[in-house]
Amino acid sequence: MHIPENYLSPATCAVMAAAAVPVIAVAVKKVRSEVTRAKLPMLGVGAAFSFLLMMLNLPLPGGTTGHAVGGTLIAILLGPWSAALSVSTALIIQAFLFGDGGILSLGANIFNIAFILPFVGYAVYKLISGDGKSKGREYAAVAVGSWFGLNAAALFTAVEFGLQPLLFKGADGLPLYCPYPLSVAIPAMMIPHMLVAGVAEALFTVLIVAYIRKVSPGDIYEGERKRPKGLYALVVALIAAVPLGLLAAGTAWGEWGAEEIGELAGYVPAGLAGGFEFSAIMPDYTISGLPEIPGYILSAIFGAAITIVLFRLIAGLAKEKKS
Amino acid sequence: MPEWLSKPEGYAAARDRDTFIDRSVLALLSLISRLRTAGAEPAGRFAVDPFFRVAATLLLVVAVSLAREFASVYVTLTFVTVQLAALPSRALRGTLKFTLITTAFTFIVVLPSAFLGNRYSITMLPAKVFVSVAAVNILSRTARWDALTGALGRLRVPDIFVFLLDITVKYIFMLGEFVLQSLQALGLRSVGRNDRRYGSLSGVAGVLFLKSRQMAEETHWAMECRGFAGKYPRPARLRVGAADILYCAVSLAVLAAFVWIEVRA
Repeated sequence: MHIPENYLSPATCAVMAAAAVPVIAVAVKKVRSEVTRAKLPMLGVGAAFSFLLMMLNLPLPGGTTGHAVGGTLIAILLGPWSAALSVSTALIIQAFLFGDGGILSLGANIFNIAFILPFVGYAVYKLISGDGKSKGREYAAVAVGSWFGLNAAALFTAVEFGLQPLLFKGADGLPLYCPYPLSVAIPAMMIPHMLVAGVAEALFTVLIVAYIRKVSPGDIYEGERKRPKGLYALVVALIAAVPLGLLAAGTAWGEWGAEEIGELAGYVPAGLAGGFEFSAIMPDYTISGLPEIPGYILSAIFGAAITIVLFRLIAGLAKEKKS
Repeated sequence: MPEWLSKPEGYAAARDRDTFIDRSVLALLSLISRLRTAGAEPAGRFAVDPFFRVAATLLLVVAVSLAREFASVYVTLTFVTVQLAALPSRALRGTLKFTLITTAFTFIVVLPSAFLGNRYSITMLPAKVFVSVAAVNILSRTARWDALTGALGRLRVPDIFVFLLDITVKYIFMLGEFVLQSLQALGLRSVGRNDRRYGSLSGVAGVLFLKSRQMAEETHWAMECRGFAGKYPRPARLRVGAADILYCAVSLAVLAAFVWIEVRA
């Protein structure tokens, strides 16, 4: 779901960035005023969490891959604005350090994955869970909400991809950026996400909500006992599981390199061939000189740690402003 | 009653900027408060014996400076970042501020080499600086001074060196407080415009010198009275807990990965 560099025209990127900036600004403001100090470090753990979930690639029907995000989970635990901020942080780290998702398209990615996803997921969850008295109903709400959240984000991504060939064509009539129109992009993105990735997201979310309910219910309900150690254990478990993400061999839909797309579409769109290229230090979570699996685990640890550090800094700033 | 006593005088002190006093006072205060709070952070998360931490940090710094592969620096970078994530927030902010400034400075210094097409040093050197400076900062901000000198003693660092280090840190603290008091006294007694700032500041420096000589003599007497000839008693045996074992295991794993990458390349 991470839109790479040059798949969207610079104009689209500018529009999406303009949409993402107020999202982050409002999120920072809301988190500062609404989230209690005690919960601020939890946001960092949430961001680390989402970072790791996005590294766990699942093979999707059609030879592509996808992943869960965990945005709805964070929205349920800490509120949708906190989720927006957490997932944005994870996306920024992914783009700059690991080359997952483009720099120019970061605004679009933040809008789709960090804004649409948690808000849609949270709204559906609230709608279904009702007063939250029935346990079964609540779990159903968690599952359906997270499924809808992920698919809403996939739909937005597909529409952004699909609009490119309609809007931006070269002199020869060939698309300049993403070559697939809406009629291809939407089914190609939506069917696998509805069938596999959305289900995985729902499964993850339900399992983790159940786990947190058991280990540290204070993170969901006021006044219950809290055991943050359980959450850190979850992060460690996810790090250990991350190499499973390497089993899914294909590339995610719409995240091909220029060569791959040349084989798939028969030609390389002009904007893709000669566009802006940011070379991340650790492209695709690998590092030269290290075998794939240890490199992937190392990137998972590094990414999770740096997300927590970033968030604790933000939390520190917020505290200073308050006192 | 003389006439001049009943007349209002209307004296307004000429405004003068005491920035030099304020700045020195602030710098000293921050130094002293750092020395005083160093290691005062809750030890829970960093309960590992300083001996192991000093040894591992020394090894890490030496290893990083020898690294030729970015992958091996990345391993140590991950190790340091995980430690950063576990720091108490004050220490985290202090460490990061210091480390990022030095890293940025290194980056600027090596920037010209990038224009000549050298992409290796522009990532390697700042990364190395980041790792070494952060590792040392984490250690100094989470371990107490006396614990650190104790650990150095265990590492068979000569007694005279440990003694000097110990005395230096203690006297930076004591003399710092003394200067602080002198500067405050100077500030309180200064009314109006002070045209002899350098004179007053060198006065403070002179008093400080005399004071430090006096203190050194007193220390010497105190050592003689207590029969201390600069030789430290060997500390009791190390008590190794679960945290120590975990820390050593992780450090050894990092070191092993480091050596493996470097040898393979």
